[in-house]
Parts: sequence; structure tokens; C-alpha cells
Amino acid sequence: MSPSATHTHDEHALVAHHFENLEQQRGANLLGMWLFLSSEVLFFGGIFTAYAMMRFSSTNNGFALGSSQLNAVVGGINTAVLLTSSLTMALAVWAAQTKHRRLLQLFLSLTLAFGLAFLVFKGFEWYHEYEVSLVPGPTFGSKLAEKGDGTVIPAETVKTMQMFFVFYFSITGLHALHMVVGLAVLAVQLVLCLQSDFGVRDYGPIEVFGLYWHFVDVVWIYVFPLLYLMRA
Amino acid sequence: MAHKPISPVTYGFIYVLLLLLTALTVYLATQGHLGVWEIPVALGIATAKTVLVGLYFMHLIHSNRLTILIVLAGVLFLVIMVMLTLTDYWTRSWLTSPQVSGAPSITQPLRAGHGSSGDGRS
Amino acid sequence: MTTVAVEPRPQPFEPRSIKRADYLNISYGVRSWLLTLDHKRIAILYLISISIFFFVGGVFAAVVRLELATPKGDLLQSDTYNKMFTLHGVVMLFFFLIPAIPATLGNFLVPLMIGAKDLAFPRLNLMSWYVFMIAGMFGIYTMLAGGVDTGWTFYTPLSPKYANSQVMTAALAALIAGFSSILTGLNFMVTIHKMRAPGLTWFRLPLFVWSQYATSLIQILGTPVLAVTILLVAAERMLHIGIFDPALGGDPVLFQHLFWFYSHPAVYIMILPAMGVISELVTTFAKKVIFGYSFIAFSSVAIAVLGFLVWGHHMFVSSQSPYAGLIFSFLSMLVAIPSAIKVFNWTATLWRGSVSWDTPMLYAFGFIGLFTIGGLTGLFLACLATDVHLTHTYFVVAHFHYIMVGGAIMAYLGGLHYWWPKITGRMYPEFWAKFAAIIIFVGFNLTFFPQFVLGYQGMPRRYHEYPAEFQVLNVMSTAGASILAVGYIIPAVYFIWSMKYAKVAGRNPWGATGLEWSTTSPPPADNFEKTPIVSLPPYIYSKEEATVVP
Ligand SMILES: [Cu+2]
Repeated sequence: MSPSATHTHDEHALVAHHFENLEQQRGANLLGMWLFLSSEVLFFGGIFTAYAMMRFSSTNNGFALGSSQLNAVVGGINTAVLLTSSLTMALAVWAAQTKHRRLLQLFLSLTLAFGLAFLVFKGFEWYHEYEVSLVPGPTFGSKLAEKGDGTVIPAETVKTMQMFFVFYFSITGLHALHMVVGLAVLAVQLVLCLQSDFGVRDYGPIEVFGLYWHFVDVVWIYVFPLLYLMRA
Repeated sequence: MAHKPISPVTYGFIYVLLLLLTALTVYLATQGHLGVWEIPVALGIATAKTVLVGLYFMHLIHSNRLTILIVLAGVLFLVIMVMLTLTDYWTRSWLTSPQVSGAPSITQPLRAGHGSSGDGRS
Repeated sequence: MTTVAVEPRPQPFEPRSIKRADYLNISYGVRSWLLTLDHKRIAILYLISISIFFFVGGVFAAVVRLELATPKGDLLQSDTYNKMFTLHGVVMLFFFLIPAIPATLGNFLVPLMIGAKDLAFPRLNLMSWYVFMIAGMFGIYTMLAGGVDTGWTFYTPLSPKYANSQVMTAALAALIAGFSSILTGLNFMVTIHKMRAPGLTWFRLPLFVWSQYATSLIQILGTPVLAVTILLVAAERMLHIGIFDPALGGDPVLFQHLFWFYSHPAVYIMILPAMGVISELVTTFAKKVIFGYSFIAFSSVAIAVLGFLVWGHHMFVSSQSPYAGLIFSFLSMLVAIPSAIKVFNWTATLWRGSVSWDTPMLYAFGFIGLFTIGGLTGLFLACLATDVHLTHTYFVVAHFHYIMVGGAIMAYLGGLHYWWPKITGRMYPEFWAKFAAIIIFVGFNLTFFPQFVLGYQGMPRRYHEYPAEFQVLNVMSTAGASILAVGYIIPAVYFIWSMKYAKVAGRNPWGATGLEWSTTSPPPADNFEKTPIVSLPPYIYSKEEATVVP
């Protein structure tokens, strides 16, 4: 570590040797995360584009029928859970910025709890879809008839419905994967906050992680209407 | 960065707004019968929510131009991908090819199990 | 980010007479390399890895050319041949060309050129190399387990449904290599934004840095689409459910859209850094300020953005709507403009310059000529009507080899010679280097020019046998490939030799401008004795230029 003139005494331990000062380091980390997130926009964007095109070019109402198999209210409640975790994450960043160590620990724990709750809800939803034969595969739709009002869905439409559920499971699966990664990082940060003055000493890492967490929330904000709410 | 942190009260206010928008979009989708407006309205509400999360939770409102530019670049490239792919899917049914009887129509590329009526999607 | 494995502190007593500490001799042992966070050492790690992959990909190419020496399919079965050209493509594209200039020269030079101690995220940089090597392991497993035969493009429904070769591991290799590419791009972009030396404004940046910046943009925004597309193919192949298979109601053309959304811009991941290298070479060896600095700088960014608007030109005959084809054809023509701007500016730079014919400059001249041919033939293919005749023929093969081999690899070799004294502290043998450069130029043209003719005459690509009337041109091509192979082996030999025996270079053997030449060769671990301060635009070779340029 070569101390440079711009380091203040406190900062010195926090700044990696190739940065001039904490400001530059924070700026670089934030910029890096933003670039990563713009990359993620295109990652999810790829599958959203595929979904849009298949839905647009579909010649029957299989996609809409698929959407109406999902429970919009349950999805809405889960959206609210995730939004709540975003709020607590934003508050955690605020606590770190204003150096409230106890509050930081509290808000990170709450974020973790709401994030887990989202995944648990999602798990139950998936299990329900498995039970009513909505998982794509050879047995897809075998239990659809029991549930409906007696009208038989044409085979072509069932095929399109299956495609809807391929998208549903891919998109929600990739989203859940991002949640799991986020929760793992969150857990590490929480442990560090409980053990040391991590976070209040330098709020940078909490802020950078917060961006990721909000982004995962934003993805869900689009997943929810695209999959659950397009029934016409 | 050097900016004063956004106050918890603002966060709370934004949060309530987000919940209200979520309730609204669920209500419109289940009870609304919006017809062709269903998709634009649902995506519009989602975009409004995204803007709120971005501006306040992600502090874009206090960010420098560079950060905004990066966000817009990501969105721009996504729009490019959707729009240019759409030029294909949108115009596939425009060209009615001189049909040799029995030959597959080129306006219906490789969609199995689809009749050769060639009407496409209107 | 706490301590660094390599402690960069210069000796406090500065014993100039004793051997000076540089990034190469500051620590020894395998560990000091495999755990290094120094961008220069990571560049060397990449250099070694991609050189191995280049050799492997070259062997596949040699087998392909040998098979094509005779009209009959006498050396290989057709399915073996399919595997050979597929592996050649996968290895050369994902494991050589895409990382070639950014991960080696870029990694080494970007911090040096902007006066920084390192890239913004040294750990991420090392991680990107490990991710790349994991991808490489998947690639090598693919080869050992029987290869893959879908073509490097993994078209559906062949790749998820019908191919019975190692599609999964090959696709995963491409996916993982993509992640390492994203990490590199992200690192460069943050570094260029945040770590520039005092006084180094955007319009004082070397053009190589501009081109790396534009490349990073493509890496960050294009590669994720490839990743998600490969995941969808993988799901379709393993679970037999999906969105590309017509039997499942899917659309194979959708795959092509998503694939080319990344893979056309990927061509610019290969060629933009090459253009950056050429800009540096041309000014240094013409001893003259670059002509039209801002045009070259902005044309890099323009290429990066326009490059995302043209992917449909790969799909003119794929049952894509002809109206979409029309739009893509028009947009493809637009990309020619910024590329042409660069070529004209390089040529204009030479005018009234004192041009010297050192080896790097030979490669630069080679690049300008060959890239122009490659670019212009690209217009034939971007034109909707001519493409219907030329697509899937050897004309396409010749075209993209003029861009990738004649363009990207020429520039890579030129850059490697130019910065070799900086990287190793020693020169290379000038005679052999010139000899190899000429051999490569001749061999290259003999290999690929006949393929333009072959394609125009209608020889389709990707077949292991062909009608007898095509033999003369094919034999010429195979002969050229052997010459080319010799041309590539010579530098490999003398570069290794030069590290120990060649003449010591000194700080600035070319008399070039640029911050990288102001530090010692090889540079110290921290790059500069003290942070440089920049007060001039780049490429100022004479007093008049210093006063003319603002
Ligand atoms: Cu292209």
C-alpha cells in the first residue's frame, strides 16, 4: 500500500492500493454495478424478446389461457413482499450512510426475511402448478379437463399453453436464481455487520449490493404483468 | 455519493405508491376488461413502478449523467432488439407468395401443425 | 480489496545499478502467477492460453484444408469433417479472436495508456481468466468426448434436437467464455471512466483506448443475450421442451435472431480493438499526428452502436420476412461508413509522414489492404439480392476470413510486435519478423483469395467433397494455408527465443508518444514511478503539431 497524499487517515485502510481515494473507489464500484445491471437488462431482455415474439406470432389464445391459469392475487401479494424487501434494503443503505449500526443490522435482516418469504411463496406456487399438470413435458395439461367448464381445449392451443409455461418456468426460474445469489451475498453482508463495523465504516458495499437487489425487484415488476396479467 | 441521503419518509411514501400501483394493476387485470388496452396499461404501470424504484430506491435522482446514460443504453439496446426482431414477425404475413398448390407458404415459416391458409396474424 | 499478492513498492534505497524491480522479476514461482492481481501478468496468462487455443484451432483448420485438397472425401468421413470445421470455428472465435486483443494487449495496455496503477477491479480481472479457463476445460472436454458438429452457430433445431455430438458442453463452453468476456469489458469501461491520470481528458486518450471502450460496450450489452439463448437451447436439448422446435410450436428463426443479435456485434469485438492497434501503429511509424482524431474515436463508438442494428443480414434466406431483410440490408450498408472513415484517416495520416517499414508497420499495411477487401466484399453480402446468390458459399468464408484473419490477426500480430519490447523488455529479431510478416501476407492471400472465386462460382461451404472443376482453386488455397501455417510458427519461435537472447529494448524503442512508453520496459508492478500528468493530446511528434492541435 503506497499511501498517497489525498488519503485522509481514516480512509487509508479502506482504499485499495490502486485507487487514489475512497471517492474514486466508491464511484468505480457503483459504476461497475450499474454496468453489470445494464448487462443483466439484456440477459432478461433476450428471453422477454423471445416471449414477446412467440406471443405476438401465436395464432391461438394459448398464451392468454396460460396466463389465466396463474393466480394474479397470489402473484400480487408476492410482488408486495418483494417490494417490501426493496424498501427495507433502501432503508438499510440509509442506515449505513447515517451510521446507525443497529438499524442497519435490523433492515438487512428484514430484507433477508422478505426475500426468503418471496422464494417460499414462489415455491408453493410452483408446487401447485406441478400438481395441476402445468409443468411442460409429456404429461402437460393432463389434468386441465377436470378443472375447466367442460369445453375441450384444442390440441394446438394446449401446445401453445405449454410454450407459455416453458417461458413461465424459465423466467421465474432465472429470477429465482438471481434471488438466491442475492440472498447469499446479503447473508454474508449481514454476518459481517453483526461481527464488525462493516457497513457503517464504509457504506459502499451495502449501497452497491442494494442496487443489485432493487434490480432483481425491477425484473419482477415486469415479470408479474407479462406472465400473470395478460389474459385477454 | 456526496449527496445527502434520501430520508426514510420519502422511501416510505414511494413504497406506498408502489403498493398502490401493484393493487391497481391486479385490479385492472382481473376486473378491468380493458381489451386491447390490457397489455399497454399493464406495461405502463410496470414502467411507472420501475421509474419510482430507479429514481428513489436506486438513487438515480441524485446520480450523475453517466449513470443515467448507462441505464438508458441498456434500455435502448433492449428496444433495438425487440423492435428489429418485430420487423420480421410483424411483416411476415404481408407478402402473399404465389402459391404452388401444396407448397408451404413462405409467410408461415416452419410453424408446425399450422394450416397452410397463410392468413397469419392480423 | 486489501493487499496484493505482488507488493508493488519500489526499493526505498533506489539502487539504480542493481537490477531494477519490474513486474516480471518482482516475485517468482507458479503461485505468484496464478494468484497475481497485476493486470500485466494476467495479460501474459491470457496470452499463453489463447496462443494454445490458436494452435489447436489451427490444427483443425489444417485438417479441413487437407481434406479439401482433393475433390473426393477421401481423408475424412463427412460427419468427422463437420466436427472439424465446427471445432475450428468454436475454438478460433470464442477462445482466440474474442479475447485476443482485449484480454492480452488491452489488459496490458489500458492501465498503462491512461496512467493508472491497475484496472479498477484486479480480482475480477483474475477471475475472468479463471472463468475463461473453465470454459476452455469444457471446450477441451468437448473435443476429447467426440467433438461437436453443428457449426459454431449452433442453429436450431439441429443443435437441440438432431445432433448427437457433444452440443451441451460446447454450448456451455461458449456461454462461460462469454461471462469472462463480460467481466473484461466491464473492468475496462470502469477503468477508462474512473482511473485516468490527471489531465488525461477524453480527447487526449489514445485511440486504442477508445476502441477498447467501444468494444467493452458490445461485450457488456451483447454477450448476455448469447448467454440466455444458449440456456434456452440447453433446456430444449435436455428436457425436450422449448421454444425453437417447430414440433413443439416453436420457431427456429427466433434462435437466429437472438444468436445474431450477439454474434454480429461479436465481429466488432474482434475488429474494433484491431482498428485501435492500427491507429497506434500508423501514427508511430509515420511519425505524424493522426489525421482526424475525433472522427476515428467517434467512428469506434458508431460501429459499436450500429453493429447492433444489422444482424438480420445473416438471415436473408432463413425465411425471415423479406421486409425485415430490406431494413437489415439498408442498415448493414450504414456500418460501412464509420469503417471507411477509419481507413481514409489512416491513409491520410501516412501522407507526408516519414514512414518507416518496421515489422509492426508491415502488419498495419497488410491490415489496411486486407480489411478493405474484407469490408467491401461484406457489402456484397449485405446487399439483399447478391446475398441470395453468395450466401452459404465460399464467398462468405473468404469474406469473414479477410476480416478476422486478414484484419484482426494481422493487427494482433502487429500489436504484439509493437508492444513486445514493452511487455518483455526485449526486441525481436527484425529480419525474421519481417520475413514472417511477408510470408503471412502471401500465404493469407493465396489461401483466401481463391475462395472468393470458388464461392462466386457456386461452391457451397461446409461440404467435405466437391465437383472436380473446383480443384485447382482448392489446391491453391490449401497450399496457401501451409505457407500461412509456417508464417505463424516463425513468430512463435522467435518470440520465445527473444525473451532470453534478444537485444534489450529500453523505454521507447520506437520513439513513440503515449504514456506506456514513458515508463520502463518492462514496467514496474505499479506501472509508473509516479502518477503521470498529461498536458497534451496524443501523437504529437513535432513542435508544429503541438501548436496546431488545441
Ligand atoms: Cu454480420
